[in-house]
Amino acid sequence: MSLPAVRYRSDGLMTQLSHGAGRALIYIFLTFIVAISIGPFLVLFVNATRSDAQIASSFTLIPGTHLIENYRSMQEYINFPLAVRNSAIIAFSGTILAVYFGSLSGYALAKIQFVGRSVVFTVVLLTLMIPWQLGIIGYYSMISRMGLIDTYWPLILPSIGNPAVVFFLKQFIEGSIPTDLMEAARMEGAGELRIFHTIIIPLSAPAMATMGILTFVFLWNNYITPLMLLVSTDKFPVQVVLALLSTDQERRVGATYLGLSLSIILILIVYVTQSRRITENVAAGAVKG
Amino acid sequence: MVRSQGRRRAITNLFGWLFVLPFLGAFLVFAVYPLLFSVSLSFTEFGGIRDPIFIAFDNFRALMNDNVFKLSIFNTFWIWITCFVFQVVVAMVLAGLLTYGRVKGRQVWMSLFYFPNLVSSAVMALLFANLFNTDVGVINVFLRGADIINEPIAFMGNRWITRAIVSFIIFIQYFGVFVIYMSTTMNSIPTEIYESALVDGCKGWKAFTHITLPLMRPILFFIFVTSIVGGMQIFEQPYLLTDTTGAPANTTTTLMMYVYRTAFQYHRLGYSAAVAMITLLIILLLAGLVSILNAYLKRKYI
Repeated sequence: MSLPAVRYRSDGLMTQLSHGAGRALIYIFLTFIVAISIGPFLVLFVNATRSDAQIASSFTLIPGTHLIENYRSMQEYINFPLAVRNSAIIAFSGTILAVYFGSLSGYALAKIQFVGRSVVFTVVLLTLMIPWQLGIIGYYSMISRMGLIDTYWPLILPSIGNPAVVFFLKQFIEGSIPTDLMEAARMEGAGELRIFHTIIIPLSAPAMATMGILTFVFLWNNYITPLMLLVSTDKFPVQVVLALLSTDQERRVGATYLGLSLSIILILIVYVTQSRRITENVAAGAVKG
Repeated sequence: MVRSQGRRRAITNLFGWLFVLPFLGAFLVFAVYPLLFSVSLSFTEFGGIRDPIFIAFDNFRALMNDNVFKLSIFNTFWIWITCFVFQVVVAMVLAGLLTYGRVKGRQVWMSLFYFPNLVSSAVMALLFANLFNTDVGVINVFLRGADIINEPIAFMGNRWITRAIVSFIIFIQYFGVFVIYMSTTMNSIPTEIYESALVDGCKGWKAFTHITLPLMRPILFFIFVTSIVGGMQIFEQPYLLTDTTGAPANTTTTLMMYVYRTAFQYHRLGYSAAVAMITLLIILLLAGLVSILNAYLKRKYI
């Protein structure tokens, strides 16, 4: 869905604000909010290119020339490419599982009239708001008993059971894929799994992409679970490794700024190309709520 | 014929369940079971290696005399409330301006406001730890460079400043979401309502409180509840901002930080589970109160 167009209204205060000095005030306020929320990232990117001494002695928004030096300093303490690889393994596999099984369940809940369907969907709805994260001690104990500490399984597999993804994909499949298509395929003798793979997946690709981006960002940004479950430094994902870097006694400031910058560059690239899709999805959440 | 229809029904049921089974199974194993297991662990003494020993309510009794625990409740609430109030007020003003203020580039502004939400809490915390550092922090370097101060300020030595920084980080991370929610809702209010109210002389601030706010009740309720759920579980921001300590003197230790610390530093997993369960109870209680308030307002205004 797309954001509805802005409608102009004449309601006193706002009319005054939309003229002359009022207009300027509006833009000053909006710019101020952007400055405090985006400003820190500018400082972050600039300082990633400055030496430790420069950062400690002067403030500027003009990029420096110590990028390579900072990278070397960072690599002396942590292995950043390895951490990126680790994060990528966790986030990509988790995302693929979440989206595949999410749309499989979403398809069943939307288009297959099986007994118990409404019960399952009610469960999905009821569980959306429950803070499952508060079960982390039970989760840790369970994973520890299963002997899966220091493996990626407990970081990846929970993605299969994500109620938010199921809910979103169910709504999409129900609303935008005609049931006739499936009936026709069944007449031709196609099995349910075949229908799912050849009709549902291609047609729900936009919704899967939206959910995929959000799941990927969530898994990429997750800190507490890998912190709790991983032991070997060479298995740490980016977020955990960055925390190590910044607590280093030698205080590699430039290197820390560089590591933080690199960790959000991927997210930034995705956002620059997909910002409309992402913000529209958030807006869709408002309609649900 | 009857037989083949029965067969079809059976196949439909089989595939329906088969398709939701992976999701249901994973959800039960990775979300439901751990939470229930945590509930049962909260009644035990458990170090992680030997079997848990059942001690009934001893953990909860001990928590009543645990000053760090009590402080962590206060800290969590202080951080959440200050942050939430600013978020709602600022987001309401921004949403109002973007919806009614004839602002150019509405989509661009919203994209900018929303961006920090995609950056991880860990990175946000580490970034601000570096910005507010006493010796090499950008804020101190800037203030000294501008001759505003001579000696660097130890921001993180002051409990109120440190709490405010945590609050500010979370503010930056989530206000953009609120702006999108509120602005989308304001946009969906039909212009005719305002026009007919104008005939009755209802405009400006009065129109806002009598028309806009009541119509925004569902989304404000949703924002309130999600903010409670998230706010009571604040972890990364204070944990990494203060180098895991909750400095100064535990005045930024939150409930979730205490859960983590009791489990993985003190190896008291039963006690830790009890802290998590109290957190869960606080969330349920607050969400319940807000729901009652919501139901009351619904009856009163619509």
